[in-house]
Amino acid sequence: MMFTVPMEFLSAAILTKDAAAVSDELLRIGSLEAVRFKEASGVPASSSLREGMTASDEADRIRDARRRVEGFLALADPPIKPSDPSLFDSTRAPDMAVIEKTLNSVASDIQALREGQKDLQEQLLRMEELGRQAESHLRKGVQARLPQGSSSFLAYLTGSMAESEVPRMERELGQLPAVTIQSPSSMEGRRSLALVCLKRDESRVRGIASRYGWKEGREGESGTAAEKETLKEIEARKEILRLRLGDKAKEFALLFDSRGKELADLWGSLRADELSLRMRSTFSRTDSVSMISGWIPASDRQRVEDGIRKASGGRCYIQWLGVGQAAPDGSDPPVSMKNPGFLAPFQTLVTNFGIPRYGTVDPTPFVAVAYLAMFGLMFGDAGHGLVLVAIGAAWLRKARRGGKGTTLAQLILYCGFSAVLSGLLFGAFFGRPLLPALWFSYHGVVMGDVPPGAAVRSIYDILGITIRFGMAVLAAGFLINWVNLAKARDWRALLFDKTGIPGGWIYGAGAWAAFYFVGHAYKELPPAALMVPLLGIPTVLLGLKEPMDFLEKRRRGKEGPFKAGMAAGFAMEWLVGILEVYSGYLANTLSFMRVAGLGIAHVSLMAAFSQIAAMASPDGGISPAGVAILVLGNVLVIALEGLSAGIQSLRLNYYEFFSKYFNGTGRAYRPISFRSIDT
Amino acid sequence: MASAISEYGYISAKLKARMSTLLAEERLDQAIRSQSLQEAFLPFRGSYLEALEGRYSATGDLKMVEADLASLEFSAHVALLPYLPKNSAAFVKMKAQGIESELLKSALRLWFDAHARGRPIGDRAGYLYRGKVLGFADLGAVVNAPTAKDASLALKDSPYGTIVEAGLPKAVESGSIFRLEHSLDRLFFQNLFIALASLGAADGEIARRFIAIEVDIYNINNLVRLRSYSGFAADKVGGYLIDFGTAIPAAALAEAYGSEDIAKLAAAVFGAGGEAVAQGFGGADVRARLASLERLLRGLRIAEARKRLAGNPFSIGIPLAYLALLSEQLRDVRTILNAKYFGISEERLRSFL
Repeated sequence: MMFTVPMEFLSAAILTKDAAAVSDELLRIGSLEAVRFKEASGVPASSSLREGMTASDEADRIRDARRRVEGFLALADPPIKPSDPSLFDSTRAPDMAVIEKTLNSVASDIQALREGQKDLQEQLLRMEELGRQAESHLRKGVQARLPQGSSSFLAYLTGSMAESEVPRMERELGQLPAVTIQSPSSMEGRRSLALVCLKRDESRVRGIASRYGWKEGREGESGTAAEKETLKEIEARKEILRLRLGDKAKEFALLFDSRGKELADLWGSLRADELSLRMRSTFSRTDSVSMISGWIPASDRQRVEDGIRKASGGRCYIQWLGVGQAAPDGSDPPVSMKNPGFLAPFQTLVTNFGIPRYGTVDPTPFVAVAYLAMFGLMFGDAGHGLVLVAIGAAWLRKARRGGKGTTLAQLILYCGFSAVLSGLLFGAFFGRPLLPALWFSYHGVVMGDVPPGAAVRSIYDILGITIRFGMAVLAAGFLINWVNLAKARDWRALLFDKTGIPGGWIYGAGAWAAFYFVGHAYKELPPAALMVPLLGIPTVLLGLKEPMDFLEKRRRGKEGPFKAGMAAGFAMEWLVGILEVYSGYLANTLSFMRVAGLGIAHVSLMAAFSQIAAMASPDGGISPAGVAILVLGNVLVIALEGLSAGIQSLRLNYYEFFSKYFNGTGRAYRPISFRSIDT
Repeated sequence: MASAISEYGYISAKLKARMSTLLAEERLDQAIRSQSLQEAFLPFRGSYLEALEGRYSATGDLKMVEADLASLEFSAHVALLPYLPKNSAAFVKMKAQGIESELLKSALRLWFDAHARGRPIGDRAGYLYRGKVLGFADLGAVVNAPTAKDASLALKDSPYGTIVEAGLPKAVESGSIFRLEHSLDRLFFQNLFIALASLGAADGEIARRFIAIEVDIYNINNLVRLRSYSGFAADKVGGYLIDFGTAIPAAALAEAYGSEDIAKLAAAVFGAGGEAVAQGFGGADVRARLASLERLLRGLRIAEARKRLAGNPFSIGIPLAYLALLSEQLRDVRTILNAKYFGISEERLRSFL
């Protein structure tokens, strides 16, 4: 947690016939960040070994099939969870022809269902069109009697036909927007009917009906009754079609009920094959021997070694390059940061900025403390904090249920807790000094209502607090950097660089001098006899940095002999460095005044809303308008100030704190495992 | 007088942000590589086209999805109108009328099929656009009109009434609706040119470039269609083309129709390089070569849009670029989905895009 995770470099030789089993075991352990042998050795594998197994076509085929299965699994409602790849044996090559046949059969089942849906949908559209026209004319005619005038788009035919022919005719009419209304009884084997269709289809409907012995007749009693039933009939037909469409949706769900497990397992198996191939593609090999190389966290060394020996049946040779030893190609190990889960949002803030250099201090815990402290100082209100806690908790719950990222939700939750804590320190609750302040009343100081004997009495006191806070943050940055430099045995930087001891010394001396000046009513500086060595010694040390660097480079043969012009260069570098230290560190420190600025703005805005609410409540109480103003004011302040405080905290961390120690030249550790997710 | 910055600043920023919501090439490629229609919808998840999968899953009906795509394109045009300066809004509105005109043509084709050809249209009439259009109220009234006169009456308050009144009876008489469709297109382009003339110099220049490509695409499309009618006289082709100053001259197109010299046309659009490209269209028939030329023009339209996106943001360039890219993307999506429905191979599908 204090430093990035120590890494060791693994080189293992195994028999090629054991490669699949070893690969599976390594995927199960999930610790290896593989390095191709030729990359690790700097020598092309082909010069000593045959080219490593790529099998890219096979890998592409497996990946495409896996993505297809993923798509099918996602079609189910709720989506089907795929099986765990580690449960599957990838030592045997998958039969892709069989797998693709299975997938095609699923696709074909789905397509058949969709075709059925499409037919029903078309029928529904036809009925809707008929219904639209019928309704439109009924609205015009008011009466529940269908119009038969020339302006109507509907045709209404009455007549009769042999009862036995009715179902056949109805089937054929099903292809058109038309309904048949039958009389309740038949006479001499013939049934009276009304055919309702769109006028544009009238001749076609008449043609179909006549093929089944239709005899057109005058509208009788049954026809009138049928007329009244037409809309009902259309609605009933639409309802039946909708139900049948619903049945299709159920059939779709059943399809996944019956094939879901098969698909989930297929995904697991394909994913295992895909990862195994990916892992094996990093092995360099001959027909008989395969080489595995890569980085592994030192804590996993024994587990990995045991795993390789077990999977290869002991037929292996393993060599480790211990912590601190360079990789065969001289590259730095990848960087992993091991922090407790609750620090995950802060680790994300760090990695968004950059990956720290291997072996340096992991800044995550420091960022967590600094970020939350900064946020609390800018957004110190217990009520507003509780709102953030509620928002963060709800979002977190939703994100966890939906399997989505929780980083931002967690961060809001923590910021909420920080605001509650600082709200208790400042006695603020929804912009009012309703709680007893455990430290000082921010509201009281800003509004000029300070109790006698209070330690913090004015805005200047608040500015002083935030400047001291900033100095503490910057000092922590110096200390972390010194630890990093000492750990890396970079003594020159530690002793002569502006972020090393001289920089910290100047910063400390400058801070002391500033407080001395303020403490003496801005009238007296510290004695010169003290200030000259205090600032002079580290300033001189800074001047030695460039010559020392030159000597070191010369010792390594990277520089030629000293030339007179170089002295001017050293002097210039020194002067620029001094300017940077004196003005830069001052600016870094004053930058923390924004913490006070935002805190003051928070209180002032809330006080302003309170005053407006009071103006809207002339009777002395609180009117509904006043309540609305207060609610709106609180919402605005929570949203705007919350966002602002979050951004400023991030800025102070990135540009003031990180600039003192952070070296983002690391490379993230990306092991390959059965849990790997492709983005 | 408002400055170009105040007139276009907001909408350009909005559209530049919205541009990122258009599908990335990678997603379209995934859709192209999908093995079935249902799978082709999966890459659209999480994008502005996500609702299409829901529509297809609920209905199994690709035509419903296509209707949604048309509606999406139309509403994208209309949604820009309140944010554009007056003359630019009039121009974009006129462009939207091009989509509206297409919807009307679909309705007239249905009417024509039902009444002049006696074909059943029950399975197609349900897909008519039911949303609000600009110039008239109800496409259903056109499709269901019992006579040509009634169909014209349904459009009497629209800009299309006179043309349909004159053209529909003639279409019934001649057995072809193509001329009526072209008359509607001609009306659209005439109105578009009028709207173009009202734009300022800088906006006018940008819009002119987009229109020129659109006219070329339209003309090439028409030539492809005319090729389908065997024995269509070459001297009559000119009557079905739109002439617009900076595009391929209609006369050159008509001549090419007769001589089948597509390389010359390509040279007119793309310069000498275009002629060389067109030679590479191979020995396919003239329709296929025209279609290849159309694809090149579409590529040109996309290139023009990208150029405008990188150019002056305070002009009509950004809105027109956005609409062009959206329209091309929706066309690609439509093509991909149809190809999946008809089981067209990936290779062949790519040749259509």
